[in-house]
Amino acid sequence: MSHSIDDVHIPNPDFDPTDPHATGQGHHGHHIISAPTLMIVLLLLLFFTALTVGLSRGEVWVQDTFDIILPNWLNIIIAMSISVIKATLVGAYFMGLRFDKALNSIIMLVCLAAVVCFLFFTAIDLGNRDSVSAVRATVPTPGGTGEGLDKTADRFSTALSPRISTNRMPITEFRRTERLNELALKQAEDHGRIEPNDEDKAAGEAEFWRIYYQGYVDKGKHPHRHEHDEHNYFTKLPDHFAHHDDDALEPVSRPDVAGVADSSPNFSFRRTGKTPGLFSEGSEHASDHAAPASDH
Amino acid sequence: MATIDAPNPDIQATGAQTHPLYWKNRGFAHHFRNADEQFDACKLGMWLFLSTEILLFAGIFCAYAIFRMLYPEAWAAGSHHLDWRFGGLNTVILLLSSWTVASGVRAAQLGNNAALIRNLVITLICAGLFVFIKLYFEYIPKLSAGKAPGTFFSYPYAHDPHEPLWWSIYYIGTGIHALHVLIGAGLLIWVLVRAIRYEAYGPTEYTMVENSALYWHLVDLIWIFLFPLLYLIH
Repeated sequence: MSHSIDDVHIPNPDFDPTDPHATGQGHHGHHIISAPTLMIVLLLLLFFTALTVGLSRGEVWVQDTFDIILPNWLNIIIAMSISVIKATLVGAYFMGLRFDKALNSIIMLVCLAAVVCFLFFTAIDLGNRDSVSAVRATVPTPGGTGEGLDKTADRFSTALSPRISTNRMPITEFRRTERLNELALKQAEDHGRIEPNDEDKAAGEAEFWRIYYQGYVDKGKHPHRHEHDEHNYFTKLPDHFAHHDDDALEPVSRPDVAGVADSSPNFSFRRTGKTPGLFSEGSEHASDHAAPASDH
Repeated sequence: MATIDAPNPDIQATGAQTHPLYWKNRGFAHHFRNADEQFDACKLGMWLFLSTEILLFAGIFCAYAIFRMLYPEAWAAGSHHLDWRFGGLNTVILLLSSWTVASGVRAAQLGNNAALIRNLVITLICAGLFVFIKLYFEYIPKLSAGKAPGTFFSYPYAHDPHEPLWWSIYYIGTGIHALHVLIGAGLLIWVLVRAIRYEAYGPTEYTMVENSALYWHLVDLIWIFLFPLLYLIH
């Protein structure tokens, strides 16, 4: 038996000894997702969108019709669960993670774990705010006062930032007063006066609320009495508001802004600030307002 | 080894097919062993970038959660100012565009340039519609009524003193999202131009379609969470 080099058995004639793992063969194994799969995923996504909107509207309907206020967390848990399902569908099929290399999914999951940590540590921080020492107690003005902008306005004189000082009034109150003064001044001008008198102020206030309720009527919505409408201009307005009068209805109970009051099931976070001034207007000052309420 | 950087002589020497960007004329960088490896590396990079994008939005979602826990009344009052019909319509538009862009990737994988162009055009129309609805029916009426963020707030009928904070979160969340819609549309226009001019994408060369599509899906993914948080939960 003579063996020559030509007798060496080569099982695969395509074998390239310079590329033993055949890495140079070009593209292979890219998954092409079928058109029906994509269509089914789209229909599922549209279905879940309709479901989450339907459940949310259903909750409003239940509230309006039966006067049952469902707990707020129910709304959040349902909406977020549906969102997670939708996001999984988009990630797995539209973004192709299901057919992709595992590494891409791992990156995504690690990132989501980081997001969970982020939310978790923030939540336990907020949840433990009660036990923070009183050293940091200050009296915050809800919504900000615009003071910071006043101070910086001189250094960065830019037309973009509104130079306003609200005299430590919440900005919402400030804007309300601002508009009321404007309307009172307009009433005074119409009657040839320079300074608005009490009559002008009352007429201005009536006009202020007429604009508010008219906005709802224009949109074809049922206007409800605004909680800041102290003089109940709702009932003094022209006829087309009269049959919408729901003043007889009790307003939905809201937790006191001061924070220590009862928590309604419709609001998710019971705020009992032991740290003075952190959640409330400050316990030192709260007694001024709280004292009459506790008499009842 | 099938590294082909020069135009393939087998292809008829007419029009786009001689162009170096024509998909059959593309090779891969010398430091990769093959085109597959280059594709996987590009995609890995894209996923790393997308994870940083998710962390960017996580900051906004976290701020939403904090202020929602602290001021639930302001959040309830604020979300009543939003119309779920515009939010819902925009959700449907984004889901449709996500589907067309996924179909576009499929068309590129199958070498169907016409279908790729068709799908990209529909996606871009959806992007335009989304931004139009956002601006014309939501941002402009709200801003002109004074429902603006922070100290720019001048709406006189607020129910809760913390409502300016709600508007800050609303404009930051939807604004950065809308910016992403515009950037994604820009990427898809780039892809579209290359597809029309050079037939740049085919079964062995569609990295740019794939990665732009991934970006577009991320935009959709973020909106899937923003929509219920802002419009539906109250």
